[in-house]
Amino acid sequence: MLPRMTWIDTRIILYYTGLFVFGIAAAMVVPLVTGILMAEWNAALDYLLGISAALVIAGTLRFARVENARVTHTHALILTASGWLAASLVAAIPLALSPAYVSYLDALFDSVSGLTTSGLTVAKDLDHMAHAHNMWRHLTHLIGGQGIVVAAISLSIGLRSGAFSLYVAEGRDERIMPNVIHSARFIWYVTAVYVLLGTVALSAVNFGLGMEPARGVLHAFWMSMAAYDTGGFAPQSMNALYYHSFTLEIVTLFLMIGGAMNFNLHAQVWRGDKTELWRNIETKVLAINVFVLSIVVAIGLAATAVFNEPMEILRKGMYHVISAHSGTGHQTIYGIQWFTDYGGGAAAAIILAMAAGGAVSSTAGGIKALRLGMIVETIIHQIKLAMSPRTAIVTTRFHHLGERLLTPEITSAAAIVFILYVITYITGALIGVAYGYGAAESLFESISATANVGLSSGITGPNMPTGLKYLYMFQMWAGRLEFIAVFVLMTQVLASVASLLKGKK
Amino acid sequence: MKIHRFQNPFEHWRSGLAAELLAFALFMLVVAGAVVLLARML
Amino acid sequence: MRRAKGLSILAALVLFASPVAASAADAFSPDELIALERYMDGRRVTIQGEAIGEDLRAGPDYRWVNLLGESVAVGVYMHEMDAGLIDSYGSYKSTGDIVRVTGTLNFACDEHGGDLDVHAEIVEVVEEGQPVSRDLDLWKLLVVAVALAVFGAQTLVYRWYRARSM
Repeated sequence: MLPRMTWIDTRIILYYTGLFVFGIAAAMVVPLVTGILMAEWNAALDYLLGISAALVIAGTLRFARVENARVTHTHALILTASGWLAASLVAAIPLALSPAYVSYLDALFDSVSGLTTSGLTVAKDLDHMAHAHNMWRHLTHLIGGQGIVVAAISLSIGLRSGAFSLYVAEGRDERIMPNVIHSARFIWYVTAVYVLLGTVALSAVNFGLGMEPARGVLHAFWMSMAAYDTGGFAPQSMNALYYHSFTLEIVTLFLMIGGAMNFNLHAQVWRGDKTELWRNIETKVLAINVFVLSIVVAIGLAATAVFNEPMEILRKGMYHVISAHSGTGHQTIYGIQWFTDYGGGAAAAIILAMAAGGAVSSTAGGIKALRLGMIVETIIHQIKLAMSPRTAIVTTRFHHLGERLLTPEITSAAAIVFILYVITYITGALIGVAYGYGAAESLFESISATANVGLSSGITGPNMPTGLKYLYMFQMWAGRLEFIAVFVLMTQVLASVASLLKGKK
Repeated sequence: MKIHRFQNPFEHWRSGLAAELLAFALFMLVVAGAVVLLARML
Repeated sequence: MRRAKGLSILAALVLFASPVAASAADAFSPDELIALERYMDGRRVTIQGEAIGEDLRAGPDYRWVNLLGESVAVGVYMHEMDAGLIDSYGSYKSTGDIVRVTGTLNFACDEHGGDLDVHAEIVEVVEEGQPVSRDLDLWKLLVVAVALAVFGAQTLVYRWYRARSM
């Protein structure tokens, strides 16, 4: 029998969920100020309303406070799942008020997509969207990419004992520094450095393109956040294609690769250990994958009638391999081109890149390089075992921030998450097929949602079936939290409902 | 150089960042070189 | 493909004057354009859509102007003199000029790294964009006032509640 949630447990979770909602309210000040500065009064008003609604919700949840509460590991898991849900629901309020979204559901889709750094969008008219709304959409990448919980921890909201459990529940593998608060702050520091550099570089690009100063800087800031947080939103419906700029593509490539790296790796390199860059199992897996898939895409594209010039193969091939592998989803072709012009071979390689994903403890999604590396090591280990005498003791080591021994626990944990991702990829694809979409498109979109990529084969849009909107939202949410937290929340809710029903009899 | 597990990560952040960006650039050049070479052959 | 700018303006004027060419029926929207059969690659097409954002520099003397249809926008590569014809670009505060372009369609332009684009020969503005006036939604202000009042009351009650339970 599962331990049932007590009233105290529920109150602890509600209280901290309320704190996350407070955080979202605070973050909405940024788009509010943007709207005021750009004289977009109606859009600014949407954020004023969003802030006040969030304050009322958070103010209500505040009453659930329990004195001297201990946040346990189970609390942390449930809180992570519920905190993300609550944050998405509240973040969608101002978007729903904007004319760019037909319904609250569509606004919620974009806020889930933004917070999980996916980048799929159902906005109806991005090209006429207020700067304030674009600021908020891209800011959700920043909040969700580093982690809502990490954001809360770095402000040290008084979680005390539960902080580390929360940190792990959100998909961070281990602390960078002994103190979780310092670890969380380091994550923000790395992000600030990269986003700042990206904004400066892209501003220069945008001025070169002749954009107005304010617009140029805003676009640069948004594209930097979207690329570094491996999000994939863009302020225009054409995404990265809007700018028609090779330089912009190169700058965003740097940001995407930086964003796909483990924060522990950044820390190790910034401590002065540069050898970790090529010794780490994750960077090795990522480098080999990107290299091999780029070659496959190149062969695939060369066989097509459309993208067969070397420069086209480079710009449409490598860009999308890195965009897909890092889980970003910036796109410089149209959705329908994936299966018409891009060719089967190249599109299949892009699907594989999306499914694999970036590093653990990064903003990227997908199965992730560490797990793939461990699974490969396990296979090698099994072969070694099979080939050695029965009495021999065979050990396998891998390098991830130091030499480590491959243990059955590590192997099974990696394999379970791998299986969960694959099942979700396939199930989502089959549901897409059931809705009448092509198998290839459905698989593409399902993997893109679950792995928080955001490339689109054209299924996602304001007119897609409502059922698919819910499906992709669930896939994005579960994929971002790597399933376990979501399962714990669902189990607890079901168990509580079951016990309530029993109590009534 | 001996690096301790929990050493301050801000210590060499400039050279660390430079190393990262350089590594990314080299990697992309290698991939781009291979892709273009292959594309020319095909 | 790259004609003298004077000629294209002249052609635009001639076309603008002729009622047959000005009807929208023979122009593709950007949404239709990207879904055209692939044998159209490299052919001459006419496309009509709303200019959005801004014109972007594309090397000496040339500009990119992105034209929006229903939900898809397509980049048009045009001479800066042609781009100069466009006054209004679609944004939050205005609708853009409706621009009709005749030019060469490339599903993957060899010159521009494989971008799907149209290289313009003739550019004309068929309808001018207008500023969009948005009245302030007063009901939102009312909701804000009520919500802030509720939050204020909550805070007072919370303070009292905490002080009592300490």
